[in-house]
Amino acid sequence: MFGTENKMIRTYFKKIAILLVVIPLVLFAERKIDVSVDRTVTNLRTPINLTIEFTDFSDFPKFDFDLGNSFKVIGGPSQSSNFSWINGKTTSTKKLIYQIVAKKTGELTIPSFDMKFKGKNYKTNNIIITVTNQTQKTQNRKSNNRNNDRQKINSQVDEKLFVDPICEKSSVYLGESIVITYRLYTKINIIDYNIPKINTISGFMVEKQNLIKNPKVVTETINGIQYKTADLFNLVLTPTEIGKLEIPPQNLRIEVSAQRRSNDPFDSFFSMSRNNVVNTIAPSKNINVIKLPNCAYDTFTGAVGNFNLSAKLSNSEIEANQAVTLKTTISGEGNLKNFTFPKPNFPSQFQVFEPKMKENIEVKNGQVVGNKTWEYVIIPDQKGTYNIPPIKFTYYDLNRRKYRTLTKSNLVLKVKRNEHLVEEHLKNLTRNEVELLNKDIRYLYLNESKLISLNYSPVKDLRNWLLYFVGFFVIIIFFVYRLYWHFILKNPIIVRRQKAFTTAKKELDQITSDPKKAFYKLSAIFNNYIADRLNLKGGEIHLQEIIDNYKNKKVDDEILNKIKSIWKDMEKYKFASNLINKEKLEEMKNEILNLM
Amino acid sequence: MNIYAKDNKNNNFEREAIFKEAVSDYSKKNYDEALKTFQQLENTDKVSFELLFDIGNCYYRLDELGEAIQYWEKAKKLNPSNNDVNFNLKLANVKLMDKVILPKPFFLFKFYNSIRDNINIKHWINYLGIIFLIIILIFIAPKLFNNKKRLQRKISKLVFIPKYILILSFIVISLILFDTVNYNNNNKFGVVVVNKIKVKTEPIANGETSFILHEGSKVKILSQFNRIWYKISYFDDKIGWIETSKIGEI
Repeated sequence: MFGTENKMIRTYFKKIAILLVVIPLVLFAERKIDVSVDRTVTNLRTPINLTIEFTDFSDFPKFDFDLGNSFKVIGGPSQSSNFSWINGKTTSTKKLIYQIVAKKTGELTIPSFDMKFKGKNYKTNNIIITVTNQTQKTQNRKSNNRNNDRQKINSQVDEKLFVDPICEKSSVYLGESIVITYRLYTKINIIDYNIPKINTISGFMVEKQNLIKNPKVVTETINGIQYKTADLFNLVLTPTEIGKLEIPPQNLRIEVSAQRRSNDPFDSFFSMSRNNVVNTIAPSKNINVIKLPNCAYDTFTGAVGNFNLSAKLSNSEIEANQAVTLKTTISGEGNLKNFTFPKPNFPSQFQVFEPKMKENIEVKNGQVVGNKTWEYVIIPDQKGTYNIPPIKFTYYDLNRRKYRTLTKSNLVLKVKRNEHLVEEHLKNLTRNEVELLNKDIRYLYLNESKLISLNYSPVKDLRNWLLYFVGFFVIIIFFVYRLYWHFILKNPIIVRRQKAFTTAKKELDQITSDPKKAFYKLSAIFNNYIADRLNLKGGEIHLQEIIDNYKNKKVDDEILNKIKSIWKDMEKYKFASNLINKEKLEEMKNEILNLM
Repeated sequence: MNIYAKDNKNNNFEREAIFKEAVSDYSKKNYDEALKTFQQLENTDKVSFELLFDIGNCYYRLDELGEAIQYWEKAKKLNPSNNDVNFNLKLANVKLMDKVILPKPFFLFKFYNSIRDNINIKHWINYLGIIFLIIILIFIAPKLFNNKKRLQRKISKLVFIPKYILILSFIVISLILFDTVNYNNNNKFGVVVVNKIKVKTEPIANGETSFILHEGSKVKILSQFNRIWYKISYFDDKIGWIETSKIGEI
């Protein structure tokens, strides 16, 4: 019970003690800001550690860390804090450490920084840095006593080791791939190295960061000094902007084996060298990016370099509904990563799937080389012979400095009927149908029989309706005939004339055998016939009247003579009826009949 | 007139020579050449049953079943009762990939349809004309013998039954003929001339597929849209849209 209370009391005392320390620190502390560098003489390849130390600051003040055009930040800031209590005086220090590198040579100034903390303004001092082209000499050793031993090793290393970005081109086209190779120059043994991962470079698209495994070591002499060189890694970059672009300096950590200068004979005996990690800077590189000339080709998809085109079908003869692959390959050097293949124009009968793309790209002799293949799976659904339209690919030729179109034509695909499908279909046939299938079609007609117009219609052909016209004509004739007789039979004069012969003939047939009576009858028949024909009154007709009437009708004289003769005979025998005999009667009857 | 007749005669000779050349190519199994030569004749303003039949044969030999059926159907329109064309069509129809088994129709409908499909309209118009003429004569003949009542009565008695049979035949044939002409005028047919075709639900290239037809399938053309699309029906059951280039009109 008491133990717990004691613990609580102790905890309170501790908290109060801390407050007693911190409160005066905060309230009465004398705040100051120091800016320091680990070296004042440097070169373009050696990073500088810039430390900003804040004494008695409870927090980091906000400030604009602007180094101007002379330096570039390549690392940091890393933070650290320290708390000390010396002779009853508490001191708190906070540090921000930046790794910077000089962009140019000469006397460069790290500018002062204006800071504001809790209403009070602070200003740091300028620092002058001397940047030379040469590797660092021993001057630097004097500048920093604390890291004396380390500086010694670094300076030895700096003289003997550096990394340079190598690029064959200083001016490229927009979209053209460039390769930056980071080459190590060294005179000392390298144990290991660490390459920073580069994801973004302003104005460029980082296509690939290619770590070179087992780099080939070559001896090279620069300014009379022999170095061993090895390509550590390369970057494949594609500019996305035009103008003067900068590839920033890259910081590399390299573990080296360096000789240790020691007076201890045991050191030299037991440990000839020791390993050290060195930060070295590959300087920045400027690339001028220019615009491509205007392109009027539809088949240009952004390819820049030198390329070849090949296109082939996996099979030139297939069955319908079977797949065939059109393989188009672009090979050569250039920005292989950055373009696609312009879609060929396929016949509408083809079902074409999205192409499958394969690429085999590598960096060789500072160039992006390789090939890219697009495989189009095509399924033609109709038989026939298809000429695939020419396959075209346009790129900007860097050698000729102009656009060039590659064409692959004469691709012919013959598609046959799919016999497999036909066989499947035949399985469902009836026996009769199978029998029918075993027969051949009927042979050709060897001659044309009757030609007809393309828009012939039997309904519109009047010749086909001829029989109907005949039929209607017959009907019309019939009705006309009927009409004629209808009017004829209504006219008594015509009826009398028409019936004259029939009546006379009928009466002649009925004449009795008695010649005398028969004569009188014959005379009456003749008179009535003549009267009927000439529409005269029966009992009162005279020969002259008859002759006149017939003359008006322009009857032949022969007939008139016959009438006269019969008439006279009739008159003669009217008064001498006993002269008449059977023969004479028959003769007169025949004469009358002939006349009628 | 004479010049025209002479030109016409020359043309006929020339046509006959071309036809024989095509037949000769066909018999040498140069079906491509034969087809081209026959098509020269087809491209004139006149055709014949034999020409269309022979073109169908060429296409059949070239393994173009769709076009073969199209031309045989065209030939059948000119001579529906021709045995050769009917046999070839029967044989080609067995080879079709699209086989539709429909329920068997009532025998009278089947009989009627077979009559309608095989009617040669020209011949039937002529037959009907003969019947028409006979009926007229039968009606008129007794009237011509008004004076001879006995003969008139005899003739009337003799033609009494045939007269009504002929009238009935005339009416029935006229109705069938009228229906056939009406059917032919109002219905346009086509044949699928490509191996396989997706019939769309709407006249758009990317439209949804309604059903699939294969080469040689006969479809009824219902309407046309923008000269690119035909609205078709297949066995009066399925309706959809096909590109005009994929259909051969009969």
